[in-house]
Amino acid sequence: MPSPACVHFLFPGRFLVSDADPMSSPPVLEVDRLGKRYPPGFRRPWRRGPPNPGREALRDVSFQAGAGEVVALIGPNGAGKSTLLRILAGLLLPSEGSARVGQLDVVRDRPRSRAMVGLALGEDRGLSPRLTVRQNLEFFSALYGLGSREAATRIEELARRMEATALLNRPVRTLSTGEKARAVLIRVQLHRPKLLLLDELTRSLDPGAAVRVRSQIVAEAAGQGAAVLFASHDLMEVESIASRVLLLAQGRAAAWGSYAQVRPVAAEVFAQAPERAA
Amino acid sequence: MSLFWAFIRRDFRIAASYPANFLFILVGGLISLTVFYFLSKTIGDATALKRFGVDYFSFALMGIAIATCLRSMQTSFATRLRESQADGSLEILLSAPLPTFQIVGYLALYPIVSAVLRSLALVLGGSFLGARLSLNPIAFLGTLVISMVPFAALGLISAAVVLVFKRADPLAFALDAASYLLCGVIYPVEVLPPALQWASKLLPATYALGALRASGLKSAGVAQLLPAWGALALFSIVLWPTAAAALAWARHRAERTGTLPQS
Repeated sequence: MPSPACVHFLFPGRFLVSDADPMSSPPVLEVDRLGKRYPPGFRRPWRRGPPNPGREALRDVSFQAGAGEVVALIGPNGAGKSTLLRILAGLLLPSEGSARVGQLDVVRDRPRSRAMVGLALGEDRGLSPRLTVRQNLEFFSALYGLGSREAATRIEELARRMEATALLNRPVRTLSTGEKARAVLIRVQLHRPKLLLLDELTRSLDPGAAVRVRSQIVAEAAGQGAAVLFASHDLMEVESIASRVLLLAQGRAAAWGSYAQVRPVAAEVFAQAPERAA
Repeated sequence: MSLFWAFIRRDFRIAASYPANFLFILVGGLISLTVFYFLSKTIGDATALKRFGVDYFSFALMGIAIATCLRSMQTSFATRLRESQADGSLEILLSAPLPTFQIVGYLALYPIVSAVLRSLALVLGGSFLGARLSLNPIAFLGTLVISMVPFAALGLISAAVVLVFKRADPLAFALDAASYLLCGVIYPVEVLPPALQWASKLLPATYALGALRASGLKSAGVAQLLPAWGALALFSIVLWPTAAAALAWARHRAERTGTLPQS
């Protein structure tokens, strides 16, 4: 376990957040002692050997994010980043602890709480390849309760900001990975979510586009009072846009703070898991 | 745009992007019609059909059209869910602020509507070829709706199995095959041995086919159909709570074990 240098502890496993939360309004995202243990799979009676004990993916993770704040989620592969994002999106049940998005509990207040979230998964396959980007976005607008006119305006507006206007009438199957990532980024912002959950989405963009898209996401989040939680292995990206960073290691919150505060601990964590780090 | 139209429009657009599929469906329907038309000519006036007062072509046509609708209710939920699992879109769909029940239901809309339209086209095509229908429209529509309810529940139970095991539900296939074998789709139940006739009474398709044929071929009214409606209502009362519980349990299990993204 890395040393907790430069990181504020309230007590073990729980980081002090009040000093880093300058927002006077209630936090958009509150994660409190969140844990996830995947249960063992079906045990076949004819299989020998010890039973599969399951796997602990997250343990005792607590943090908050305020409106307009961009929080980076870093850590080696298998650290629990995707598990955390899926719990917050209401797609995975935590084993312990709680999380609230816009005052709604992600477990108790489902499915309402999902309206607060815009989710883009790594290798997101939510868009139908046979439809154009616009047709896909119209469908998702309806799914999130947007009227036809509002949806049309919103799609045009977001496409302009994401430099994707030329992509709108192209079938998704003809898009490059980077172009698809832009279409997904439009999809997650359609319903003006309070929390954007992005799983390594800008990794497939070329460097110039990635910088512009990142700044658009940050501006959009700030403009709407939304928080952004993004998982990334790109530490330059993290340094450039994240106001705070949560470092996960083996399911635990190893560090929380500004990039400068987290960096030494991150270096230690990644050095300890060289074969797993991207 | 309502969710109903959003799903229908999306799935129609996807289906329309494979134009050859429409052609195959059309050709398949025409072949079915032609086969049963000439089969009917071969059979002539079958004594087993005296109760229905129609020729074999009209009898089989109605059976196939009804079975197409009911089968789509029973299989579309699971099939569409499985497709979404396989193409990776399910997780994103389930992250929408809608209950699982609703998402799975909407996913099956297009195949169900398309099956109803195919059935209608079959009946219309059959009419041109001389099928003798004597329709009581209100009784027929009422029976169709009441028949679809237990089949939708069976379909949702099947979808719950797919959500957990990521494989097509073998029970649904068995039930589908048993319905074709025992419930009188292309031959009347009366020609079966007594044991199989008894077994057919355990399947909702028997009551649905009987009542829909009666209202579609003999203008039977609501009063005559009440026993079949009662049986179908009984199936619904048992199957719907089971379907709701199965689907809720399946989603809960997938979210607990983290298997939702798996295909």
